[in-house]
Amino acid sequence: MVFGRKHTIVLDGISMSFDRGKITALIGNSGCGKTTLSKIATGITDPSSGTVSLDGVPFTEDNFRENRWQIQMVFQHPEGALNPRIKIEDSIKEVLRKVGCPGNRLNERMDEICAEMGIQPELLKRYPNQISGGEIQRIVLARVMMFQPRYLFLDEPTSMLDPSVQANIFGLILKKTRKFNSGVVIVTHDLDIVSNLADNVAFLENGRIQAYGTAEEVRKVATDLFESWDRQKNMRRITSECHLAGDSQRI
Amino acid sequence: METLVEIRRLNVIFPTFDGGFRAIKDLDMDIYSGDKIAVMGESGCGKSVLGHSIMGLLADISLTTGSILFMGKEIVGAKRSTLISLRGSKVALVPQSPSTALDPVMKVGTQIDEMFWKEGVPRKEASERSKKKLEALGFKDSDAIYSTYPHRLSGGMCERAVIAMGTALNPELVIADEPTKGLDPAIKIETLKKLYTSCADKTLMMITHDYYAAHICNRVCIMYRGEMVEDGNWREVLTNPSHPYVRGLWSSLPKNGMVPINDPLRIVPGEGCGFGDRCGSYSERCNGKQDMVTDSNGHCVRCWRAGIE
Repeated sequence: MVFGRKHTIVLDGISMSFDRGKITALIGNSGCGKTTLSKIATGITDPSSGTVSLDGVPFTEDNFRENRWQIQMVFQHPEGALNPRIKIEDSIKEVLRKVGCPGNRLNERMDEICAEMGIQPELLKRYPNQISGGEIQRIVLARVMMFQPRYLFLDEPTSMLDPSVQANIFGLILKKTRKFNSGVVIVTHDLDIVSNLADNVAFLENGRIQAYGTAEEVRKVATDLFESWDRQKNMRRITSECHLAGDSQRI
Repeated sequence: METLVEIRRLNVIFPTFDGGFRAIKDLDMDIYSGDKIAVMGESGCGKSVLGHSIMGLLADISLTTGSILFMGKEIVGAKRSTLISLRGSKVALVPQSPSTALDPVMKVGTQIDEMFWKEGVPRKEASERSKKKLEALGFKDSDAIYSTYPHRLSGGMCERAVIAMGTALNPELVIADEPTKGLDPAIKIETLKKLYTSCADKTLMMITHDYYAAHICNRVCIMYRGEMVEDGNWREVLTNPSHPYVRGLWSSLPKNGMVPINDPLRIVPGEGCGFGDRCGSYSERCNGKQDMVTDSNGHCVRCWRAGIE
């Protein structure tokens, strides 16, 4: 699969598959194509050439709508995922109607989902701008999981969230995706998450998959990336080095 | 140590359809000259509200009571002209999400020039100072960056551009709101280095979720539900905290196994501990007003157990 605009090739000759029931992490520096790859896999963007298949069946115009339901994506900026002009309860009911929930069961089903996902009932009457990022991400997850997707793509889903909410969100993701045996693909810069959660890791650089395997196997190829991650755990030493090098500047 | 900011009984209440929402509750805090402080806590705890209150940015949209003395000047209830005279030159904000903080229809250089124009610096001199500022922030081709629009910059470059704007007038206090959000590790390291050296002999208040980024600071403050719950030396707070919430926060880090803190039961606390409904060590005594307990090293914890453990 190839994707590019004008003279810029963003993805070049990518061939890969994601397994149901497994967690795959996509890693690489900013601009390497991780988000673009996710958008192509979920049908949000078309490749310049190449095909995307779901369980061996290529995407076509005829099966596109159903495929979109089977492959869901959660984005980095949760506040952009919800209609800012409708209340949270209406955002949830909107998806319940799409998946065929009868009208007389909407409230009951909404309450069940809120209980499962830890969404506090008092949030339902609020608008998206009146709740926190972590709460929005729970609601977004609740909406996508209603489709019982076969594959779930998560583009830095918790980078805007604090550690405790991040742990809660990942706990929910794992619980729900295990229930449906979903394949999970996580785009992330956080290599601690990769090491702790991912079954497989794909390292992208210059638009190509440079390494694919376990975190330990990929570390041997993505040395710069892992070294930067390890270095940033020692920010204290780095800033001390700034002092010793005389980098302190009065601007 | 000279006290740069003195905050006493600060309360910030936002009006909502369900009544007032108290974002900051009876907060007392001193910020000393030269401090590098990380302010951390979960979403909605009041971190950004604290930073914006110090800038006097919330007067029109909230009810703010209490006192914030900045270099001896009262910020709460101050006249707009007083606040304008302080912003940029004495206290500056490096806002979240730099790609949206920068004006998309104005060149990067012009947005930095504006800071100098505010102080009466002539245009030509402002332009030269802006380019020097961009060079100091690691932009090799400062002329090109000066003349470019924000959409042509990467996330890390936007962050450095916003740091350039915020530190242009060499303010006494720089409030950086989530400066590493969304950056990959290599860019994060460079951004933090530039932020740190830009504020080397000044005071930095960094609002962040990033555990590793907080290590550049000498002092770490943790907020929860509008209150300061722990405040002390970086090493103690980041590696051996006393407050149960802070311990839970670090346990939920990926490197520590991502053990989540219990979901809140949403029992609205009265005067008692705001963390009571999620704390594994909860007891009847937690229902009473919880004052900060301070040890001989100046480490403060809002938990009565800290005085005996």
